[in-house]
Amino acid sequence: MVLSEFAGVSMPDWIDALLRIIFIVALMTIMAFALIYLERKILARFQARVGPTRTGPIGTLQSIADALKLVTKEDVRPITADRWAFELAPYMAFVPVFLVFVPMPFTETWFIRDLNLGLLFVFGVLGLNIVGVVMAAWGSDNKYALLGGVRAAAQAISYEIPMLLIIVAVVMVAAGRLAVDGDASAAGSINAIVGDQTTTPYILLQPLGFFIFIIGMLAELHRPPFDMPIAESEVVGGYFVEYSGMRWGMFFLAEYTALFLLVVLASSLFLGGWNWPFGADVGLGLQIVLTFVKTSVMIVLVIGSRALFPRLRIDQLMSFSWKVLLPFSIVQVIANGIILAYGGPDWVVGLVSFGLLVALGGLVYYIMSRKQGEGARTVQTTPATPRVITAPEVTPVEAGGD
Amino acid sequence: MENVLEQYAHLGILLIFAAIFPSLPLIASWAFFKFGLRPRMPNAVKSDTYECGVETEGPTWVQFNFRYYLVALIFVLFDVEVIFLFPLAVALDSVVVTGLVAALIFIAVLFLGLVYEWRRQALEWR
Amino acid sequence: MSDFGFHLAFWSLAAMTIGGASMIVVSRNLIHAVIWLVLSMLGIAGLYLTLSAEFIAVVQVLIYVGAISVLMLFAIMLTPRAERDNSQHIKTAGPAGVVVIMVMIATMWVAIDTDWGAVREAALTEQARLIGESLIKHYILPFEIGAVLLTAALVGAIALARQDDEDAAVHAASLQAELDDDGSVDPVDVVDPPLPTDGEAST
Repeated sequence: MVLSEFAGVSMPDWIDALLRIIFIVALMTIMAFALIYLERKILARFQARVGPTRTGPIGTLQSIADALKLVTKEDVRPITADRWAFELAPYMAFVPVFLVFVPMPFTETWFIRDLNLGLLFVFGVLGLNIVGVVMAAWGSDNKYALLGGVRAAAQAISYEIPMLLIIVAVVMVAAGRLAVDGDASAAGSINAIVGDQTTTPYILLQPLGFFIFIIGMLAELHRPPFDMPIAESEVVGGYFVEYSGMRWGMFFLAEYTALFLLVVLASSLFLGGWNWPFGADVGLGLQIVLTFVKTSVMIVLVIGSRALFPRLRIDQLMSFSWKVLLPFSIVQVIANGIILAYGGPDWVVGLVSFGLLVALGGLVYYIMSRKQGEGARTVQTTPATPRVITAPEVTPVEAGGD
Repeated sequence: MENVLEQYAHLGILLIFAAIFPSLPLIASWAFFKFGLRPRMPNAVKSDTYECGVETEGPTWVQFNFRYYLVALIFVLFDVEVIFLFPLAVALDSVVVTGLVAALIFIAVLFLGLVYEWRRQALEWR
Repeated sequence: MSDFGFHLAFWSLAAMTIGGASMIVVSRNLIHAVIWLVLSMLGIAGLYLTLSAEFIAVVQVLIYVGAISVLMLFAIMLTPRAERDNSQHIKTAGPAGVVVIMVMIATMWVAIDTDWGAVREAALTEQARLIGESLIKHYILPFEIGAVLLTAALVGAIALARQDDEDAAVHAASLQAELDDDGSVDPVDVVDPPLPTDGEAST
């Protein structure tokens, strides 16, 4: 109960539900505005600039100015665009992200509703976002948009599989631990998983899981280094190239909301969410502070990744997911299964996962150093062989796109 | 013990909010247009398909690389794998070794598929 | 949950499902049809919830709405342009219609025969766990056969893709041979090598 905890009054269920929803909506709006401002400021600092300074004290009202600009901007729709797909696509992209907030725990008792299958629900509903992206891409009737949209969809689905397998691994750990001191059937609920991390945050038990989750998160959000589908220099913005004004703003809002949401999820699954690390029992006020501290640290890391990493090519993107992350996450699931089925202690689970993480790091380092060496040799020795294109195979994109 | 539908009633209420919330700025935008604060001056060039200044040529909808379909298909298959593994993961403490063996065979068969796919170079993006 | 809430949920979801399904048939554009299909599938997921089948509902959203619909969108993007209109007359429409009607009668028979009231009252908060246990205790063979089926689908998909690739390779080779015979045309001059794009029909 949101209010009744403070006021000590009982209220009908539907008022309680409404209050929780209003709380989440307000929180989400504030976070979206804060994130837009933060991104500009942090990126500016990375690039030795100061960022926005004119709008309000140290530029804090910049997001509101941005929003006002978007609302008063002309809403252009290309004549060739498919009207319904074009105008409904922003909703299709935004609404699922919004709905995923249902099982997100901000404190022990502050969530819209704790779902038994919260984890699967999150990924199922978030997947709807892809349909919105493809709708926007196709509805715009623009080659860049279509290319970007299809790439975005392919990338999102590729990185969803390792993430889902990691979710299974985390649920295994949670089920094993909850069977000892709780209700193992609740292992699919996010809040139960957070509740289990009072003494040990799962990042210690599943370091590989945390790593893969963060990578998958960046890819799902089309954040650098995985921003190929929305890269300005390749596909001029990707699937929302034809959008302007508030409809474009909705895609933006969906992106920042999804960022906040996935960061909350990551902190709930691996960093202990609203728990004080290593076992102290804290009150409601401190719990929400802890949630925000953990999410803020991760948000800064995610935003920083935009300034720190170069962009990956589409083939590198795909190979990394299917050839590196997928086998490693399958091995993690198998390892967890073997250890936990025989009742192995927690530290073995953690150690094996850490060993896998080191192996993954070593493998990536090996591949990258080998690739770089090859590239250098190719440039130096072999002359460029002319590439022959079979004439009838040329499609309109090749003929006119470039 | 509560009904499952009741659990998801909040989802229904949130859905209404989710539809209204993004509509508000759109309505505001429309109101700005009515009061003359927002421009709307479409012309042939502006409403044309954007393509970095050149006119677009040929149909937009070109035939796509087969790889995309393959990736989507592999995605569906592994999605189903995860769906099968999830209940086993939740029931970990009660299925223990039988469950482990069953799951290992399940994963091994699919992993074989993945290896085959890898060897046939279906994972290469060209 | 009050009866009113249940009925509201059921009728709105049923309207959503059937409305979406009829729009699939009516819409002439294949992409529109897929979008309506998504709506219809979401309605079905909601109907599962009214039956307290939480796990099935989430799986419906995850697999059908999130994965199968994307697969369909990609599949449509692979088809030649001429076939993207949903309005062609198909000669086998008659027999297909008969089959569909028979399946529908069978489904309705089962639906009417089932005691749904009992299902609705059941409050299964540990469904995933029960499904996991019964997979191991009663359905272990179907479970493993499922894995084999999935692998077979994987191999089949690759077989299709490879055939496509090999056809393209043969085509390219024959074309190359023609150009080589001609002698006067330098292959490089035929087409400027463009940047590799995703729009390439085949490589």
